[in-house]
Amino acid sequence: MRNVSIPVALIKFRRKQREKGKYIVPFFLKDEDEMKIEQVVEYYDSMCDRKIGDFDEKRIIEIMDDMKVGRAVQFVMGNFYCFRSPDFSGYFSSRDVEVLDKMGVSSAGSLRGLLFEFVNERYGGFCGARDKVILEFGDKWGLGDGVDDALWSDQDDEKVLGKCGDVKDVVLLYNRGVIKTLFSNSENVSIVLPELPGRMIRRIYLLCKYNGVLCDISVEGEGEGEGEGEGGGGRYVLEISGPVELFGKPEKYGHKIGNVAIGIFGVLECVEYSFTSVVFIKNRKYVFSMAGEEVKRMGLRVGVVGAKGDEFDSAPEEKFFSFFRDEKLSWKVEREPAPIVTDEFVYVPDFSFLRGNSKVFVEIMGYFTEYYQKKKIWKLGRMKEMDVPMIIVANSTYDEGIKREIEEVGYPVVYFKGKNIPYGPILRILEEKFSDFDERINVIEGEKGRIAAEIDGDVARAGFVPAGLLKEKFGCFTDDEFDACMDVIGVNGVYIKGAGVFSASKIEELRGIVEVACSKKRDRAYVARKFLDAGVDVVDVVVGYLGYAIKWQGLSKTQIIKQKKRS
Amino acid sequence: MGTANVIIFQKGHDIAVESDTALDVAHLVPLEDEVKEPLLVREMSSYKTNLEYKYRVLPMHYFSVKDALAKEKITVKFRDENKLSFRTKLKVTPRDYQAQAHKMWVGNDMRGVVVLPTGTGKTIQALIAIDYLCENTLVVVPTIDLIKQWKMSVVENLGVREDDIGVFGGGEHEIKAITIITYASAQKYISALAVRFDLVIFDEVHHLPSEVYRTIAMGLIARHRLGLSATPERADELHLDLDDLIGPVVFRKEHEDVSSYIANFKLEKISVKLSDEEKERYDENMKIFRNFLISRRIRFTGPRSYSRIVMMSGRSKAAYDALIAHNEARKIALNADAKIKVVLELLEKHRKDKVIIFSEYISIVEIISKKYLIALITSKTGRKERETILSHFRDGTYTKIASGKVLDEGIDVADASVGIIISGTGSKREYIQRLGRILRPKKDTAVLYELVSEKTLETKAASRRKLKRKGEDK
Repeated sequence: MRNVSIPVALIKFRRKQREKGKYIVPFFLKDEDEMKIEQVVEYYDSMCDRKIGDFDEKRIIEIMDDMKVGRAVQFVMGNFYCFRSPDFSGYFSSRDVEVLDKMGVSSAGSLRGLLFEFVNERYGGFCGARDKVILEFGDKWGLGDGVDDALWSDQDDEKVLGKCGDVKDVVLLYNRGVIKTLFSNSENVSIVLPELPGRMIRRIYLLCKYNGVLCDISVEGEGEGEGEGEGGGGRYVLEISGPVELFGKPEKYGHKIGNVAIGIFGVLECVEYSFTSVVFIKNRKYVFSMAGEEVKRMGLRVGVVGAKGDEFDSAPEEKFFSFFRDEKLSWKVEREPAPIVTDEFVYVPDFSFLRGNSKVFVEIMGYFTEYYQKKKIWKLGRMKEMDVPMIIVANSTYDEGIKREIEEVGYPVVYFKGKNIPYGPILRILEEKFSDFDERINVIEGEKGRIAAEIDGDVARAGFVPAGLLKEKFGCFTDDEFDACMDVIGVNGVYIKGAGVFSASKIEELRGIVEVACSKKRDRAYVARKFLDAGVDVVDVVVGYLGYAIKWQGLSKTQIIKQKKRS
Repeated sequence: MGTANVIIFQKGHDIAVESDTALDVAHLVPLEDEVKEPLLVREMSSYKTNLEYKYRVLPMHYFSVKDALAKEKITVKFRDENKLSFRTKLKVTPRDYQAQAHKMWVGNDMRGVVVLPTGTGKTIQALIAIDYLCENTLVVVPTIDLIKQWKMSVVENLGVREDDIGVFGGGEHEIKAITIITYASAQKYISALAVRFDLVIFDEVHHLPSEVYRTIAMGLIARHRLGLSATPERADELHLDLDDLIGPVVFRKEHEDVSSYIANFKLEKISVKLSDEEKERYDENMKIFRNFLISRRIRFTGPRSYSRIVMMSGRSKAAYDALIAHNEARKIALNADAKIKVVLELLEKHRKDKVIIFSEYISIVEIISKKYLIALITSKTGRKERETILSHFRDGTYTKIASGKVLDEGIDVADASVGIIISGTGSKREYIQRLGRILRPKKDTAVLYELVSEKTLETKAASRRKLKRKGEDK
C-alpha cells in the first residue's frame, strides 16, 4: 500500500470546540464517493497522451464538487498518472537517434547546446528567422523534421500525460493521506487500549526504534504485575513522540510519528483502540482523535511499517537466540517474553530463560545512545527493586562510568564484544545464581526415606533402574544435581554414577558377562548385546566399575581387558 | 542563586544545562504581542547527570545564559571558544565604506547586517571580519556555485590555504576551521555545526529569516554574526526577525552612495502596448479580481493583501478564482507579444555586445529562447547544462543568454554590458540584483532596459522602484 502525503492546506476539516480544547474533524471520502472517483479516472484516461496545457484542473474540482477535496484528489492521482517529457524516439528515426547517440547527444539539453553553438558561430548569438536557421542546423547534422520539436521536448509545455500505475484504492489512499498528513503535523500520538499482548508490545517497540521516535507505555487504573497485559481493568496508553527538544517546530518529528502510528494501527488489527493526537495547523494547536473502529471501517488495513517478522534488534541478539535455541540445554530461551508492568512504565525484556519454575530475564544492552543507556539503567534499577531476576549482557565498549552504573544496579553482568556473546559465563550464572536446586534438594532431603525405599523396591523388582529415570523422578536438570540427590538419599543398591542403581545380583550377572568377554577375547558389541539381554543399556561405565576397560584397536575393533591396579 | 554545580553539554540540536540548584535566568525572549518566554526551559527526560534541575536552551541563546550565570558568579565548563589555528592576511585594502561598515559592526559587538549594493565588495567585507576576529568561521551561501567563488576569494584575498577551507554542499561534506556551506546543507546538518564556530557569515542574508533557514541561526552558538545583502527586506516582512537572528542593520549604503566604485550605467524604460486581444484578456481577468475585492470589501494595498487572498484561496473558490485571474492578468501584462518584438530590436542594436535577458516567469524566457534561439538558464536547467552555458558566456562563445530568477544572485556571470528586464515584479531586491549583473567595473557604460506594459499592473510596479539614475523614457 502506497503512502501519500496530501499538503495540509488541502485537507478539508471542521473545527469543533470541546471541553478539552479545539478539535478538528477531517473530511474522509466514503463509499458513496466512489462514483465521483470513477469520473475523475475517466477524465484522466481521456487526457492521456495529451499535453499538459490541455489538462484542466478545474474539471477535477467540478467532479468532486469541492475545491480542496478536488485538489487533494489530484495529489492522489499523481500516483497513477504523471506528465513526462517524450524521448527522442518520438521525434527522430532510429537511425537519427543512433547518430545523435554516437555524438553524445541523448537529451534535449545537449541538442540545444549544439544549436546554440551553431547560432553563435553563424549568427552572432541570436536570430530572427528561426525556422530557416533550425532547418540549416538539422541539415548540418543530417537530422529529420522532428528536430524543432525535439529541441524543446523537455520543457513543461511539451510534457504529456501518461499512466504510471494501475488505478486502484484511490479512496483508501486519499483517506490514508489525510491521516498521515495530520500525523506529520503532530507532536505526539496517544493510543489507548484495554489490552496489550506482550508480542504486540515488542513489535511496537521495534517500530519506534526503527523510526527513531520515543514510545512510552504507561498504565492507567489497575493493571500492575507481570503478565499478558490483560490485568485488572486498567488500560494501556502508548505515547509516541519525538525526543524533547527546543529546537525546531513542535511537530518536527511528525512524519516519523505518522509512519509509526500508521504502522501501529496495523499491529493492533485485532485489538480495540482509540487515538488522540495534538496537531499543528497554521501555528494553531488542535486535537485530532478517532476510534480504531473508524480507522478499520475506512478499510485502512495498513501494513506494518519498518518492523518485519522475526527481526532482531541487533546481530548479537540474533546469535544469542540461535545458540540457546539450538543447544540441548536444560534452560529454554524464549523470545518476546511477556512484558513486566509497573505503575509507571512497561518493561519489555529481550529474552527469558525458563527451567522448571524458574524464569530469568535477559537484557542485552548493545549499541545504545548515551541517553538510552541511562534510561535503560534507570528502568533496570526499578526492576531490581521489584526483585525481578535478570542477567544483563552489556557491550564491553561502554565507557567505564556507564559500566560502573550498570554494575551498581546489582544484577550479574556479562560483557560482550562485537557480535559474540560469551555463552559459558551466562550458563554458569544461571546455575550459580538462579537455579532453585537448593529448594528442590531440601524437599528431597525431607522425603529421603520414602524415596530411598521406592528406589530400593524398583531395583529389587527390575535389578536395575537407569539414572535418566531417577533424574526425572527427582526433577533434576543436570548430572551434578542428580549426583547431589543420590548423595542425600542413600540407597541400598549399588549406585554407579552415569548408569543408575543396580541390585547386587544384577552386578554379579554383569560381572560374569564381562569376565567371559575378557577371557574369550570378545569385543564391546558382545558385551553390549549381553548387557541388553540382561536389561541394562549402559556399557562403558559399568565395565569400568567392574574393573575392566574397553581397549580400542584401530577405528572399529575393541577388546575387553582387565584394568591394571594402580599402586 | 549562590554557588551552583552547573554542567553544560550539547544534546541533539539544543544545549542542555543541568544544575543542582534552580536557575532563574532573568533574560527573557520577547515574542509577538509581548508574550515572553524564558531562555531556559525545564525538561525531565535527561539522564546524563544526577543533577536535579535540567534545562534546555537554544544554541543561539547560549551566550546570553552563560553571561547571566556569570553575573551570578556561576562559571561553567563548555568548549565555546574556537580560534583559528593559523593567521590570515588580508591582501586587499578595504574601501572607505567597507572600513566604515566594519567599524559599525564591531561597535555593535560584532553582530549585525551590512547592506551594500551588488558588486560593491560584500565578499571582501566578510573577509575583513574573518581577518579581524581570527575565529573559526562558517560562511553560509545560497547556492553551490557561490561556494566555489567564496573559496577562491578566501584563498586569494585572505592568504588561507585551500586545505584549511572546508566545503559543505553539492556532495562534499568537509568541516574545517573556515567552512563554506549552502543554506540547504546548513539547515540539514545544523547539529554537527552548532558548537564549532565563533563567527558565522550569511551571504544574501535575506534568505535567512524563512521558516526553514532561520533554524540555522537558531542552531548555532556563534556569538559573532554578520549578514550581507543588497536588499535584506522581504515582502513577507520576516526580515524584521533578523534583529534577533543576527543583529540589526549596522551599515547601509545605496547604489548612488558607492557609485564611484562601480561602473556607470544607463537605465532606459521602454513602454509597450498590449495588443487588442491581450488587452481584452487582461481586462477580463482584472474584472474578476476587482469584483472579488469589492464583494469582500478588501482594500488591495500590496503584498500583505495578496497574502491574505492566498490564504483565503485555501477555503474559498471565489478567492481561488480571483487569484488565478490576477496571476493570469499579471502574466499577460508582463509577457506581452510587443515586448518580445522589442527584445529582437534591442538584440539587433547590441549584436556585438554581451547581453543578459532577465524575466521572473520561466515561460517568457522559454519563449525568447525558442523564438530567437538564445541559450537559456532557469531553475529547471540541469547543473551540467548551466555550467556549460555560463562557461561559454564567460569565454565569449555565447554572447546572449536568457535567464529566470536563478541568475539574480551572487553568481559571477562575467561582465555583460547590456541587460534587458522583460518582466519586473516591483520587488526592489530582484531589480537591484539584476543591476548588479552588469555593474562590474569596466570601460564602457552599461545599459539596462526595462520593458514595461502600458496601463497595467506593471506600470505601477515599475514606478515603485526608487532608483534615480540618468535615463530616458522611450
